Amino acid sequence: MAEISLLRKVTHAPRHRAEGRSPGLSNTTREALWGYFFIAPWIIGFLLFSLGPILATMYLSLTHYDVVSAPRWAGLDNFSRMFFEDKEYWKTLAVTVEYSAIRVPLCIAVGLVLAMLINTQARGISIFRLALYLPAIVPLVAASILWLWLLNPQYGFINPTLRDTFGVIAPNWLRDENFALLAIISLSVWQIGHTMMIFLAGLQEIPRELYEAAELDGASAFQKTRFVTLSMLTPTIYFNLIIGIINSFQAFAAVFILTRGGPANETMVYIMYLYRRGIEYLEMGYASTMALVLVAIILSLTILIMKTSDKWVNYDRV
Amino acid sequence: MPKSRKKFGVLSAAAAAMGLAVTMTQAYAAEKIVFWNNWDGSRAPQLRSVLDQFEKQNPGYTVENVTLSSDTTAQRMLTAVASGDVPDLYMTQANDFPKWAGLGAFRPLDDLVARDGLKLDEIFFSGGIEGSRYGDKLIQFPFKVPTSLMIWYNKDLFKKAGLDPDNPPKTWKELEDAAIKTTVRDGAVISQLGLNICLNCATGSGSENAFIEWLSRNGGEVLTADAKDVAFGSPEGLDTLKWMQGFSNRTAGSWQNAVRQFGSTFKDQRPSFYMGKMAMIMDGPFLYNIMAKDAPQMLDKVGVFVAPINGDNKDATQRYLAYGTPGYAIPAKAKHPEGAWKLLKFIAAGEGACQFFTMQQRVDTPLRNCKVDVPPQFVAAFKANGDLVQSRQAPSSFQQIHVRLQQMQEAVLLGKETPEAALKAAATDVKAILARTN
Repeated sequence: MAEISLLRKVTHAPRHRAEGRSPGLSNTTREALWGYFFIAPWIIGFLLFSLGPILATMYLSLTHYDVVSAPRWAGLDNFSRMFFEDKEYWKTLAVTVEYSAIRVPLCIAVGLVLAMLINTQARGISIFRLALYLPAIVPLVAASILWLWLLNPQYGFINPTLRDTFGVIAPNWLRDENFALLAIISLSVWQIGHTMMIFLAGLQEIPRELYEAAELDGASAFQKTRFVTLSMLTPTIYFNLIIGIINSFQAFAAVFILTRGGPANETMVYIMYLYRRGIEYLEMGYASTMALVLVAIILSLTILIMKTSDKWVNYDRV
Repeated sequence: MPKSRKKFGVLSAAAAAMGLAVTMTQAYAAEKIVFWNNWDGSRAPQLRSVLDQFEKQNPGYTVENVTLSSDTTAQRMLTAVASGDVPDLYMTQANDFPKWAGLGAFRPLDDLVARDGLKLDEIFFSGGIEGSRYGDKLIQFPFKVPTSLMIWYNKDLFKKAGLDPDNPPKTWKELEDAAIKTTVRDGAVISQLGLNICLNCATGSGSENAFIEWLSRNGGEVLTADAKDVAFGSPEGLDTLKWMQGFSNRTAGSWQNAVRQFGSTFKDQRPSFYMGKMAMIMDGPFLYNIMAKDAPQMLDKVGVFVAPINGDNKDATQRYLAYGTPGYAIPAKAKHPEGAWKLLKFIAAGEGACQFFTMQQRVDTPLRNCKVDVPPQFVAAFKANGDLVQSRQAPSSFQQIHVRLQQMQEAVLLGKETPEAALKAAATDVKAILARTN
């Protein structure tokens, strides 16, 4: 009897079950569900580790929060203190802008020049490429410690060499208010490898025919560089510019290790000050406010560059 | 007996034995005490050997020794406190202590001290234990006395400059005279520096505070007795700043000039001192141990004296104002507070503490009954230095005040602000910090 009822169930089973499908789901929906299933780890990670902290930062920016006690509602106090009372904040912002204004163009220029130099098929060029790229893979902490030693006025490499060879008394780079920021920027330029490789890739994408056509038209080397190379590289410059600005506004590790923001706050970049407020002074609400404003600054600059990109980025090749 | 029943019996016995073993293991499993500290380098194995002794004497406990870099301690502790996953014992630094104590991050120890009948006055020097209180509660045991910076000098260079190496300076004027005589300078080029009186003056370097050092010896105070208002904006504060600026200008041409060629941090300056390029160096009593390791040949050539007072101020006396003391504290949410207390007593107040000091030949022990052998020529100065420490109530925002004072003296020494303007601005800012954090 039991066998008969089982047989009846099987023979009358709906086709979708017999085919192993869910009832009422189209192929598109099923595919979408599988898609969501597979990206679920990323979504969960994003919600937990990105969106959650972003929302928490937004909330904490409106509070006084010392980590040990519960946050106390502060409304816009932190914003008002930051903009109207905190002189150090404005100094920090000025240092960050100065750092970015020097570092970004310098890194783009040096990266481009180095990429052009190594964009040849000469024998042994790969050794030069490796040598120039190598500093980029040195971890920033290790590179900073190396710099700390190189720039030491007494037992570093640079100052004694300058003094003993040329009789020049060089500054104490990291403790001199006029040179400390430049010293940190020089470390950043030394680690130019990634920018250089992106430019190199961009250079190798430029069609040879364009140079041949320019030569036929009688273009000089300068004209070829100006009207072919640079013009065709504008998308790469655009990319490096945006990445460079974002990185500059987020500079921290090198400053933390080399100068801690000194001397005379001349290297007190934005994140270093945010760290001081949040971690050293336990003003986590204030640090959250600073973080939000930083996001707004970076976003505004990025949008500004994107808006103006139509005027100078050449997309003809794409 | 049927086979299956026999099998059941064997299995039951095995299970019972396993259960008993697990229970016994749990009953006798050592409790792990997590100890965070900054004893790195050669001190890590030295500390481990002391901890091994603790474990031997207390078989119910094991100690996980976690060595933190001083650069990253702040964020590690912050994350730990925020998540509630704190260590059982934590090593505080002087400026760090009032901040955490003010927030109630550590467990007060008064009840435990009373329960175990510890006579703290007999165990510790008063400066260390007083500095370990926050408000009316004892928060930690000091792991060292708060130390004032001293002045180490090269006797050969003193002799060469016509100074009496056995009679080091006692007043600011005598110190300046000695610094001028021992500085060899051709315009801006300094081949030998007398002294940089502003060690770790640049913002962002170290927890030392030269202004507090010198103000202490000029009869001034940093804050009022209740730590709720500013006291450094006084005539003594102004005199101190002016003297620091004048001293640097008259000896090295400018403070910046000295820093350019000799640096301003411990690490920058010590090699120059060892090489005989600096006649005097401001450093702690701990330089003795460091020198013994890094430049033992110097030990016979150097002398040390307590930093001089302002001889022109009749109220100036030899003293050093200490805001906060370095120590070991039990975080409020420690998982094993009883074990942590046992370890704290051993490592800070018991035989482990003294042993750790003698092992390192450190002279800044906070323990009354711990004798550390140091060469006789240094003993008197070290004792005098230890006696001049006066602990002051530190507000929870002391770290911010320390940084603001660093900025003030740096602005003056770099010639960016006059002493009057710098002092006034700093006083206003520190008042605001106190108002915001009190």
